[in-house]
Amino acid sequence: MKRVLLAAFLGGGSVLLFFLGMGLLPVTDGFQRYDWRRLEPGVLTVTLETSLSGLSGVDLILPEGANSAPALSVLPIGIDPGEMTSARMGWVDRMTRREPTAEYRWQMQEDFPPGHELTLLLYTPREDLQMIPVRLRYSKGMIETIGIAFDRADFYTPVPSAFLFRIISIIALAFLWSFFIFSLLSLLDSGEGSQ
Amino acid sequence: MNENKALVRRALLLLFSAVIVNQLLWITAAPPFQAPDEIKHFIAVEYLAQKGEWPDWRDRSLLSREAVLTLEPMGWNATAFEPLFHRSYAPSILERDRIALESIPSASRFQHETTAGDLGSDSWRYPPLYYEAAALFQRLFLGESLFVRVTALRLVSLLFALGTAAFAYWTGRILFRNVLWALSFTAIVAFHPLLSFMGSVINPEIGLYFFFSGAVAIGLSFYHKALPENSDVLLLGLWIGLGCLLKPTMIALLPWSLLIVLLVMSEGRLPLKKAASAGAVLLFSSGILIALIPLRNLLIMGNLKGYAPFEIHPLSIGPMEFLRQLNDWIPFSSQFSQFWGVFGWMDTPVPKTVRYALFGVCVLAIFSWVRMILLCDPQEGMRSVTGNRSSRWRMIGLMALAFLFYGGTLIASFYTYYRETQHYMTTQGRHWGAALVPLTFFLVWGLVRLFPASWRDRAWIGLAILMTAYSSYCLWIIVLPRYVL
Repeated sequence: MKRVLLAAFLGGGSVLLFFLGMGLLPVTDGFQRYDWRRLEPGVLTVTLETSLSGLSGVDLILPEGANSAPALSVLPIGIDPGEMTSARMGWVDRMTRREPTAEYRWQMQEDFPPGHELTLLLYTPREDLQMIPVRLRYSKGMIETIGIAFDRADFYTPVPSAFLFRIISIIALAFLWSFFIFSLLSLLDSGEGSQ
Repeated sequence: MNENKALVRRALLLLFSAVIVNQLLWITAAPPFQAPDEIKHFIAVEYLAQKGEWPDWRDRSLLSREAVLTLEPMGWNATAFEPLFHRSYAPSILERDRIALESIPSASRFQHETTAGDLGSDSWRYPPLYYEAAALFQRLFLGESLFVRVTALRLVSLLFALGTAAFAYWTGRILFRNVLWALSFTAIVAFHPLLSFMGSVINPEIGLYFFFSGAVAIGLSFYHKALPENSDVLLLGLWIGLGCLLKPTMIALLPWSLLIVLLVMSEGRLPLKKAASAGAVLLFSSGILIALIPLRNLLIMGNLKGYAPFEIHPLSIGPMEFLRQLNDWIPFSSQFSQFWGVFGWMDTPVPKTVRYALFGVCVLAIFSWVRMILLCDPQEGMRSVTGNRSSRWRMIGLMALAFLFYGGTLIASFYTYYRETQHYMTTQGRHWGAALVPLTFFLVWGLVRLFPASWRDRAWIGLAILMTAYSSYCLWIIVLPRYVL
């Protein structure tokens, strides 16, 4: 019984402590309490229509911290062929970013006429964001700042099955690992495993 | 003894079941197409599965850059590729993908970055074995959704990870007299976050881990035999050659294998004549397979352009950059910080406190190796160590060699870490992965030898537990978003 408890403590604990415990405790800087509901962020597409001619660039000015990995990524569609000047995309990049970029900037290779539709694909698990300011730069030096507002209900689409799968897997892993540790402890008792 | 065997079988079953569950967890944690080059490997396999030929990356319509960029932020949501790419799909799938792609105007596609010259060197970096094998498997799922197709290929990586763990166990059984140590050693390798990550995403690199670990086990098995045969060497040579067809980094194991032949010969277990023929068999068997890559290039491209495995030129990039890139190419020698679970270009996003703790662990291991060498530690528990005096000295010599190799690399990596990591893009940690088994042995054995003999069994178990905890911790970092509010 003592060995079972020890194995459960050492085996299950090592798995569960880091999965669950670290999520509940503010362990170090940058690691804050985790909300399980945020596992599956959604995607929202918003469309802007430019009002002036000669659109030459688009900047997204993100609120402080909004860019911390993987809080938000933005993809402009309809920029032809847009050159990304400062933002980098992708989960891997978001994971590696040491200093969150405050702005995403795109520079067009040609000016656009008025009425050009600009689609931004947004992805963020952050629930406190409701509006993102966008700066439209025009070739004659004019700057227009508009805000993209979005509804969280449309934006946030959790996937319960994935969440459930992960929870079950974590518990299964904790059990299997505990029993493995139990086997090792049994081997230790039966002559230290030597064969 | 029988009870022990039943216990070992049960422990192995539990361990490998835990590894499978852990890998599945990582598979679901890493969003599709987010791992290093995952989208490119996926396309290559799918293209082969559908058309039976290698994709020509010069074809701009193969994949639009923007389609890639669209895929990346979308997490689990099924999305689509360039319809031109999979024109052989059923109309319903094409229609679904066409709808998904409507928002991407063709005029805004980015030019694909890959140039014609990359084709040859690509075949060196990623020879065809993985793609051909994975394509055979992928043919079973071509009609399925993107999610299923991606998951199917990720399961191939899971199998490679399992194979690597199996080779780690074999290596452990060869190295240690104690089965408990072998089991703990396997668990430490199997739960290393680098293996967990690479075994859960689409990347041929995990195949290299498998072949590299296999070659280590086969080589040690050859050394361990009282009277080795040429057939053992033939197996080793063919295995290395096969591995080279997956990733040319395997060439690094050829000199290592020849060293083993020399060692066996120096111990009088292999006559000089037989050793020479063993060396020739080793070189020939692996060389004949390795030669297939430039031959294949010649057949496909009509020339040998880009066939060279090393694309680095000291004159064009400067000596420091040359050394940095060379460092990246040598499989054992990459940045230390990456060993502890870095994935592709990604630096492990662990807090500095954790990183310093890991540094501390390695410093302790290195200190222990120095101590073992200076004190001529008899290395109880290692199978190759006998009471024979010359055997012990040979073991000490080998340890010194291993220390120079691994310890030197780690020390150089400390320096690199402090000098470069803070300023430059880090090298790819997955290059450590191939040598995961010997590196883990180096670190763990060093740590275990710091404990008194009566505590070593417990130390092995403790290290296995710590590695699982670290793996869970890394997965936690991967799964869970970080918020810096």
